[in-house]
Amino acid sequence: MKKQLYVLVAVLIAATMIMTACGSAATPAPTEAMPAATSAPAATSAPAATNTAAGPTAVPPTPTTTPFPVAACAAGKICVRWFVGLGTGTNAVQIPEQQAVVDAYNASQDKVQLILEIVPNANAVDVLSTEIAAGNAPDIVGPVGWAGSNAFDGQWLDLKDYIAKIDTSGFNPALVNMFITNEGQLGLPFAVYPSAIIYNKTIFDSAGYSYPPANYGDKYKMPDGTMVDWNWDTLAKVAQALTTDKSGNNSTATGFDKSNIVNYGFTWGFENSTNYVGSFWAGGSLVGADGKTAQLPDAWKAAWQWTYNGIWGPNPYIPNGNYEASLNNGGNAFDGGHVAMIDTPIWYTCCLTHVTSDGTTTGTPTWDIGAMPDYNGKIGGRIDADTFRILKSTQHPQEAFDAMYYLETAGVTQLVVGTSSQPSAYGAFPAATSQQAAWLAAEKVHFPGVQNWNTFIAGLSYPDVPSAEAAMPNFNKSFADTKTFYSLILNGQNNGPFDISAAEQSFLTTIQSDFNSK
Amino acid sequence: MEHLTHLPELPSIKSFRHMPPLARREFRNALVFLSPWILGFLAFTLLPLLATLIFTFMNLKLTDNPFDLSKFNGINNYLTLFKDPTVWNAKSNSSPGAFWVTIRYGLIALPISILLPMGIALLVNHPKLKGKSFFRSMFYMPYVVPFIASIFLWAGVLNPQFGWVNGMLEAVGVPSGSVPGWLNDTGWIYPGLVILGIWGIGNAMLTMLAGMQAVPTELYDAAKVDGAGSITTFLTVTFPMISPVVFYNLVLVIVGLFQYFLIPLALNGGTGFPGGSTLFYNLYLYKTFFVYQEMSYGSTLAWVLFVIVLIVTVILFGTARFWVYYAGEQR
Repeated sequence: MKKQLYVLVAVLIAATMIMTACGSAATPAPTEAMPAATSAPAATSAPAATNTAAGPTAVPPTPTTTPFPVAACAAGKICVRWFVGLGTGTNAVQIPEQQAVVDAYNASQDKVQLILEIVPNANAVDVLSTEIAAGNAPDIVGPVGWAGSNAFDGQWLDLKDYIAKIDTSGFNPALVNMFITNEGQLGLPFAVYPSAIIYNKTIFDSAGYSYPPANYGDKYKMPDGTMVDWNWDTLAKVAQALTTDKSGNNSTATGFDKSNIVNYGFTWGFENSTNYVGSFWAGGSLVGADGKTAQLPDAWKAAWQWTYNGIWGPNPYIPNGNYEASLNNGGNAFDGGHVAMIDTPIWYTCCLTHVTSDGTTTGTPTWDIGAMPDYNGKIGGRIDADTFRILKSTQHPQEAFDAMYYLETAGVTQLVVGTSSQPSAYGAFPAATSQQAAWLAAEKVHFPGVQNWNTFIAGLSYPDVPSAEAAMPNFNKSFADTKTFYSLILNGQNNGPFDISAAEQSFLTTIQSDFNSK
Repeated sequence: MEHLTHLPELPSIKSFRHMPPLARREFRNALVFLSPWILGFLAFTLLPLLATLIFTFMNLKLTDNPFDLSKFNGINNYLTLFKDPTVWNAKSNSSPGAFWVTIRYGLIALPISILLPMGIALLVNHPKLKGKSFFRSMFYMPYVVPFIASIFLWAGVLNPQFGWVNGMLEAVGVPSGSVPGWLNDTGWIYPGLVILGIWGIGNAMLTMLAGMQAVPTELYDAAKVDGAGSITTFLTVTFPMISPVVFYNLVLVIVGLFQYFLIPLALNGGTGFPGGSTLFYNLYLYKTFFVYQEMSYGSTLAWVLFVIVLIVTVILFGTARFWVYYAGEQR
């Protein structure tokens, strides 16, 4: 009896140890509640490479404090899983709005159940990869931009046959075609993010400079009254004039103290890849026509040189990485109120909270919107675009497409447009033309005093073709290397100037190596 | 290493058969009690280890089927690695390669990680120091603070604009435009990381202190009689006697340097900011595996790291006989 008891106890201890060991090592099961905490949703574009990178999202990154519960699949229902995490949508304030859309959809269905899964942005690629590898992939993924999608190149379902059955007249055809790739029609337009210059009126007023033109094609009025083309050279001159030191000298003045700059003229903000910066000059690609040779487009090199001059040149007008990252508002330099202009997609309005009459989130905004400058007579521009995608592995493609179509049509009001009393979940511009007027009305309520919203809308005419986030061989690595190179331009060599031509050659070698290792 | 020769030998199958029944039962019980660890080791250490070795000869993405034999590609991953500029780039006008990032940081951090705890241990072991227990506790205490919390704390302390360190530098007259950028500055990032790492030296200090306290006092008395000064006493008595502890810490620090990962990941999300100067080898390995999803190439990076660490450790052990002194050892 005693011996049997010992054996029983030993077996129990052994079993406990094994189960404990297994439990702690396992990857969290996808159906378990995933903590939707901490991540700054990267949306379509990644945040700045700073210590406290904020994400380009509809709402400032507010960590969720409790795990998001995932609903169980009801018996007898076809369950369609919606994975949120590769882009925006993981912030605490966004989750209930998404869940409300899911609830509304489920209430309209008797055979299908849509299940929302929130995965923190920082882990989303890992988790989705693991789920796909384990044969337990979700059905719908999104919102997701080009970069997030490229991370799962080859995994997306061609939606051509499903889209053929629906009415797409409510979308701009150019935007519908934007999602046709060599893998097929991979999505429908959902949310777009056109770009523009956002400027700080206070800095312009105190320097006595005119604001950037609100309309594309208009000239810029210099302080002496002359009208000049609104191009990157003009912007640099204005930015230099608005860059001032402690004594009030501007960047071109004799005695200007570079080590004590108070206001800067320009920043790229969260546009933290050389691809982004280059695309504002002209559309281009690091991949040659053969699909495997790395190249550096001339316009992009001009953009990088312009940026380098702005940071490390004799008359600087762009804050370096040290300044950008050390601001007390989380590395969001423009929102610190000491930068005159930023060229950015519209998602950045999420993060504009302190350029106000009193420097707090409650004051009236003192920023407005201007046209992007041209390069050699042509405007480059950039448009981010989020959509939903369906994975090839789905067992219920039609049901998944129906649910996705619901999110992109009926769900748009809550997810993208917002109302006067409730900001939209994602803060994007709706791709559906019928929703755009309502979006504009809601923005005017949320940002009183901002006049030139139409300048952002006009930015839809200046997409980056090809997209700055377009597929490249070995995309995840090569795109990360574009960010590293941008970080080098921003931070310099030992926090100082360096030979950018030599750096470009090294960058080219690195990119080619990335392409070769595909 | 002499004590290793006295370990009880495991019985062979033949000797197991000839064991007395009681010894046989005890051995069987021992195996039962060891089995959870053995099973865990096989399932969660040895098997993944061998699997990653096989992966290094394949071309697998994280989402690929690891049993797909068509994915074998010989030694291509090793060839790719040995010319990967993200690992080896040493040109000055570009982002440094991950290997050189690790080496550059290591050259600064290694001596400090050994000498500073040794110096503090000497201080808190000094016979004339009042309040020894207090100082020992104070120096050890940071070690018990969760490291991830201390990383964020130090990121604030070293903030160029608002941190205490630069605040103090400005208070003593350093112009605000000339204060270091610390963790945001490619020129100051490594000293900044070293300062941050110093926070966790309590354990090394404690082991060295224990080593110093084990030195027989007769040796100090003899040195004093011989007229040795404090430096001579340290070099001829203290250091030789604590050299096994120093050696132990040296091995740990070197292995830790090659595996340096948590701080740059927590500080910058693994972006390599600023300018690629925090893309350490181990961080690149992690990103390759989980972010870029290149399971095979990530495995190759891991195995090469293992080999590098192994070689360095073997060399270190090879040098030990010249400077590490074990009491009672026959030379």
